[in-house]
Amino acid sequence: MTKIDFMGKRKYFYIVSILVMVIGLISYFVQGFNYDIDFTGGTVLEINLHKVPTAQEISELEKLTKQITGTQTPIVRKVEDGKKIMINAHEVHGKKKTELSKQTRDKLFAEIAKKYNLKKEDLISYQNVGAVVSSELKSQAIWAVVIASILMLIYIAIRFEFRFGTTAVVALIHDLLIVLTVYTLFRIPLNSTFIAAVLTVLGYSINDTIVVFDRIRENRRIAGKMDLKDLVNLSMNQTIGRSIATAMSVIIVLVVLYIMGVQSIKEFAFPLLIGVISGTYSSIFIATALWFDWELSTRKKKLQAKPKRA
Amino acid sequence: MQNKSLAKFLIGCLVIAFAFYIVFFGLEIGTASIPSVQKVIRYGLDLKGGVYIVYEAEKENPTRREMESALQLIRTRLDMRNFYDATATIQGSKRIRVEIPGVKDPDEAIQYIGRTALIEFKGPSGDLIVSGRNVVDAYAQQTASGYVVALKFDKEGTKKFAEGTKKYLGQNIGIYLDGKLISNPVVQAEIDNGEAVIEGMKDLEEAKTLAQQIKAGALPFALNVIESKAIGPSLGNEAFKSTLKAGIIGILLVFLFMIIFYRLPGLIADIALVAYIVILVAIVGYAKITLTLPGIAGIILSAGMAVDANILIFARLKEELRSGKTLRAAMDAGFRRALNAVIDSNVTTIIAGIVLLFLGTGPIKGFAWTLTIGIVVSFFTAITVTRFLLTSIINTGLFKDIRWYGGKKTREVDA
Repeated sequence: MTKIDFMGKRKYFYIVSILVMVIGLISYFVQGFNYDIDFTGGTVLEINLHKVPTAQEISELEKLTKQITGTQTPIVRKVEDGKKIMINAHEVHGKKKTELSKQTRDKLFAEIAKKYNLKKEDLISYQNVGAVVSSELKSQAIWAVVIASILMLIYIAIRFEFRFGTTAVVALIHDLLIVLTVYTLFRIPLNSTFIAAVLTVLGYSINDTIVVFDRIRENRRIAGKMDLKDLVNLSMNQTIGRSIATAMSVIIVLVVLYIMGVQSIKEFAFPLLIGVISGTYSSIFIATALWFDWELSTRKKKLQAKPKRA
Repeated sequence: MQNKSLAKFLIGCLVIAFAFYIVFFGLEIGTASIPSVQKVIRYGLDLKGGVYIVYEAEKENPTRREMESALQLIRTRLDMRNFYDATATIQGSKRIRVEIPGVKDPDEAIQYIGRTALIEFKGPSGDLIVSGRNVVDAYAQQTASGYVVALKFDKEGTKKFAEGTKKYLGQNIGIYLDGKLISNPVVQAEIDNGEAVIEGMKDLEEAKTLAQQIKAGALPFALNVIESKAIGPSLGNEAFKSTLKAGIIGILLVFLFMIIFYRLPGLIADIALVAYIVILVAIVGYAKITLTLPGIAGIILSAGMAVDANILIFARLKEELRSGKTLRAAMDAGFRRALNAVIDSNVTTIIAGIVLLFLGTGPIKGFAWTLTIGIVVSFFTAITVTRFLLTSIINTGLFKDIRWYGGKKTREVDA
């Protein structure tokens, strides 16, 4: 059996995780999130241009959208094979941002259609979302994560112990932050599928963590007075094979989905892919390492509390 | 014993293959038939194209009954336009979500569904006597002359109706629903008690429906469009095809992966995975759970997770074999010792699925359904189907070499 001293190297993994989160934080302050219409309210038009637009054409399209709709920062992006574009825009009425009226929408499409010689059916789809829906979605996403985390913590605390539950949830938050980093860094639009992606990552991550914890729990029962570090390392070495195998089976599917899927599936598969990798990583290097440090510090305290015998 | 085990194994595989055939190709014996899942599955709008509109009641805290009346009104209007595939559902306390497959222009649909004009009583020259706004109650009744809808007007309506019936005594008063004449009775006497009756209903059902429609028309709130989306049918079709293809290729790769890494048990896990897919697709199809794009992703993902339980068991099986146990003992220990981890990890994922089920809307709900059902089904197949097949194949005594189970060196192990 391969013998890797996972716990001896835990400092490096803490550093790697913190680095990624710092990058995410910087990216968040520099460019923020790419909130999709689901979260901001407004209109999304999907148009088939039949050709890949140049960067200049994209900025021209943005200018045109700004002119016609009054959107301060309209977003035009290429989707799927690059020959289709999505335009995010809204109208401003006083302080409220609303979806485009039929007239504005028709005008915008007519202008673009004239420019690129398009037919009516090249307007593939459009979507209007009110601001009420979007603010609800935001709170829904936050609540979903909070409620799911609390329920999982309670379950693990009952089945294992409080310490396992807490570190598992910390690992979850770690994965969530990594996924959010990916969203801001790669400007993936935050929409309602984002909630599904995040919760799937949480479900997967905890799944993986539990398998590792289960082994520690079991070994602790059998091994008796084994050194804590050896015990954790032994458990890690025993489970690493299956952790990789499980991650691989999910990763295979996600990679194929990402390569072959349409735009909305790509936008779903990519963060999931990162989340699954992060979930596997965090169950070993974050959840277990944190638990190990916690357990170690309590043992030391106990030792210090006892009077030393000569 | 050995032949019996082989028979057990083969019968198990046959049952799965037969179920697969029925679910994906349907079955017909004489007059009885089971339709294939493709025929019954309900596709979400993102897979077949169409329009969806979310309405919100312009009223604080409408009652459930008021919402149901509004829903009934929308359904009637959809039916009148022959949108029989359309669905309308109440969401939360004050919203109605309407999905119309195959329609391209939401504005047209919005205009039609959203109008609030309703029941009207008009004189012979087309002048309005009284409208649904003055109706306070409408209910179906059975009288000697058949089924009728009885109406009750408010004060203003009572007065107007009395004047109208006095003016047109002996003539016809037309009853219009959305501008369409539905009844044209002759006024027999002046009616000043604020009650009117619409006759000529075919049955109680029709009378009830009309009563509900009239009441819906008298609703004190308007419906505002807060969200709408049009999805081109080509987009939906393309999305479905590519996702399905990706899913099939992905799962085939997982099949291959399992066989390469876990050999014979890997093959057994693959058969169990087929059983999992058959059961899951059958549930989604026959229980009429709407299949959305994220829903397909949920199926594929839970398939990936379904393998996890088997990987846990087989990793244990390998370990136990290494420690020198016999095949049977190693298998029993593998299942027993992996069970705790399998249960705990599944329960936590189900928690995420259920939270999503309660908080999600639209396509997210589709994802949550397939994920949650997927995990439950995968738990069942990983534990029972895998165990049954693996026990039978080990008992045949045909595969004694440890290499069949992922061991590195050739070594015979006893069953």
